[in-house]
Amino acid sequence: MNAFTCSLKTLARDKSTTAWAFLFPLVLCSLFYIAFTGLDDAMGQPVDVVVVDDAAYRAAPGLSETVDAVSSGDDQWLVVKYAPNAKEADHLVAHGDGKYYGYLAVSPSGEVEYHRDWRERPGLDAGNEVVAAVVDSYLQTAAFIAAHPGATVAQAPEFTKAVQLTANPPSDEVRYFYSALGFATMMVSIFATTGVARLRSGRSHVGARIAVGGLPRYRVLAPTVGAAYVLAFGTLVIGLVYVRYVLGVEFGGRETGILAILAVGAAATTAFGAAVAVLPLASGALMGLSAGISCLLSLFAGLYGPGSQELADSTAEAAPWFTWLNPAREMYDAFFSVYCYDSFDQAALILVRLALLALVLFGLAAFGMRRLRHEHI
Amino acid sequence: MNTFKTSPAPAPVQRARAADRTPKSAWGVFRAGLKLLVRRPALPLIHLGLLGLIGLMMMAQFGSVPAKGEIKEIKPEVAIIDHDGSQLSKALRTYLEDHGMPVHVGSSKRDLQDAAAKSAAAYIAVIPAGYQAGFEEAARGEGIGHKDSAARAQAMPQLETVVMLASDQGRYMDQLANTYLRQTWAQLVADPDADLGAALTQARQLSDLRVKQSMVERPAGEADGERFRYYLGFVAYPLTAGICVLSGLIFHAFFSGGVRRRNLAAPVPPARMSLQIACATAVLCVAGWIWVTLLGFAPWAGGAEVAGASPGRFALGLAASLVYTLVPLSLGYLGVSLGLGPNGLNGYGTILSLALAFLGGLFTADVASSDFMRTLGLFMPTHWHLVAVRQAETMTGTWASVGPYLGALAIEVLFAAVLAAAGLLATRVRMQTAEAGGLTFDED
Repeated sequence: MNAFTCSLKTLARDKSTTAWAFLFPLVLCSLFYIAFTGLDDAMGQPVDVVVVDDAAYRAAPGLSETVDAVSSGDDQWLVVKYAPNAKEADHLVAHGDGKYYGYLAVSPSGEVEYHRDWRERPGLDAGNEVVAAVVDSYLQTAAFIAAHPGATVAQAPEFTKAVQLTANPPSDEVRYFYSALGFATMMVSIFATTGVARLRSGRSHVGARIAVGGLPRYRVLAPTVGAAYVLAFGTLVIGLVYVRYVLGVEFGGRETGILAILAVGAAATTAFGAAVAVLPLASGALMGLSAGISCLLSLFAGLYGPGSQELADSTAEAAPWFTWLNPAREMYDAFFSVYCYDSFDQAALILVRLALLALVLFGLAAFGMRRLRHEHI
Repeated sequence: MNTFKTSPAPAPVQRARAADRTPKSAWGVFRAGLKLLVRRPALPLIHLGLLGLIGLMMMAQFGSVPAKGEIKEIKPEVAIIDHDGSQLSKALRTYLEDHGMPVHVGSSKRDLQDAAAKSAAAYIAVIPAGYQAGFEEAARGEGIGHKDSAARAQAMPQLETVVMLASDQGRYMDQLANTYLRQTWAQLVADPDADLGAALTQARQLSDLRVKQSMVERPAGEADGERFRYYLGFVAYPLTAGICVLSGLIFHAFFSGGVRRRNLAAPVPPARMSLQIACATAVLCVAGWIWVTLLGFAPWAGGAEVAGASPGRFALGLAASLVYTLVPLSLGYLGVSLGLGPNGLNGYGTILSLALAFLGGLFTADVASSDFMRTLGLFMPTHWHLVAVRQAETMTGTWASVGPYLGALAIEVLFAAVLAAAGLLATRVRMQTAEAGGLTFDED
């Protein structure tokens, strides 16, 4: 117990480590709050498109009315920028920095054409299909009227209705906060990295004294890792409280589940930090390695925006075993499971995997900490 | 007991010795600065290597480069759960699956939640039992005027759909489903006695009417795909993290109290010493820039796209990245001036690089950003790096196109200058502390 208390005090008094570990969840979640709040609305936003407003366009029966109808009102599909001719529209799209998905024009023969921008927009790539579908609908209605002369086209009813099958509505905003919490959990592993690195002989004076002392290694390592875990979990709890009650992010009333995931996740990342600390690298490099691996693994938890989310999802589908080795992704999945499912069994399964990963990593750390012979000490 | 031997000398001592060594020539300080990193290759490998890899992996999100004029049709993953098994439901399923990528999702609530949690499909439609009968009754009833609008709306059965938010693909599939059903409905309204099979055939023929599409011509000399352009913008992230931390380590080695005092007492003019430290960090910037650029040139990354692009424009894009390295260099200097040590620099670099990347728009498309984010981005050097890269890509050689590019570079340099000036100010304040051996308020 003395070793635990001593480790706890030593780590807590390490201003540099404590300050950064404390700041990570707060700064990161604040960043995400600024960057991604309103993202759900952005996904349903109308598509920017240029329309060539020339004589041919105005002569096309019903086309301008269709474009007007879908570019106004509550159910708006398009945001239209009019250009006087095709050359101007082409210039707007080509040099518009990706703002416009393309332009609509009517050829002199009366054929409606859609000229798409060549740029890719990962995560938002269906915008072109949305524009095309609007024009398709116009063409199909025109063809129907031509095939049924004299038929009155009544206002069609709604054929589909969106339902919510998950416990909480799907939300991209919440997904990013889960990624951020996963990353923050990875980053608080620096408590364990700092604490365990200090125990290594040849790394510090304390480590040298421990090396020649009579205490078994497990009696040194376990309290240090325990102290690092307490600080890591405490830091994350403060982060969660900040996200929930200061930033006001809703987690669908599943805060208890999220707290449980943070508790197990912090154990896994603390073990990860301890395993990194026993590598034969300088202190600065250990911290850098811990941060670098955290950044890399968080890529597969979708930390870096919509493109990263796509990459993370496709990787998880193609190589599920990789997600089992990635605490950031496992935590993300566990958060999302708690958010989506009615029951907690799926999240519990992930937590068991995380706990196993923590045990394996802790075993590696213990192996690296085994008693060494030091001729120079 | 193991016989494993560890390195005899602790790493921090080694660093101090490298920086503290008496210069053997006029450029000894410069060499000592570079040796700090050369003797610890793990540091550059982690900070520039690992984070550079993230950029490469992010490029995987871009598909293969389309051939000139080729239209890449989006095929969203779609799951149809058919509880009706009727002619109409089968026809609808065929239509949607022809325009998407069919995936299997079980029909239980748990399976559906699973699909939503794992984003297994962009669009899930559940066709309820008795759908065709209800649909026909509502449509044919409408056709012979049995019902008013309100009754019709209530009578028409609806598909239960789940649209994933991860992209607009779900919205697109919903639009297609509505289009097909509307065409079928219109056929039955127009001819209430029509055979359903014939109505479905006609609806399919009409629904297959698609607008003629073509691709806007890329400006001459512009790269064929988006990968390398994206990468040129993205490099600001690994450059910020890497150069900020690594240059910070060099600055810290020379600016830490004891080493600095001894170096100031050495027979080397302070200006020359500062110049050599600046040169060492400049070499770091160029080396980091070359490394991340070479990563992007990898054939399986963006290299293939560079071949068709104008060399001049790409050179300007690369030059923008090189100029950007001044920003993390200044940040590293500022961090050390504020008193950060090696461990603190790691956290400082990681947080700052993420903050600048997110707020500058490196990770999110403009169209997915709020107005506030776009305004905030104007105050981030990463945003101006993106502007410079985009301007370089579309430059035509006229002053009208050169001006914005040079302007963006000038703003990047201005950011670097302001940060460096703040660092100088902080250094000056710290030099006057008792710890640094300067005057304090107690010594009057």
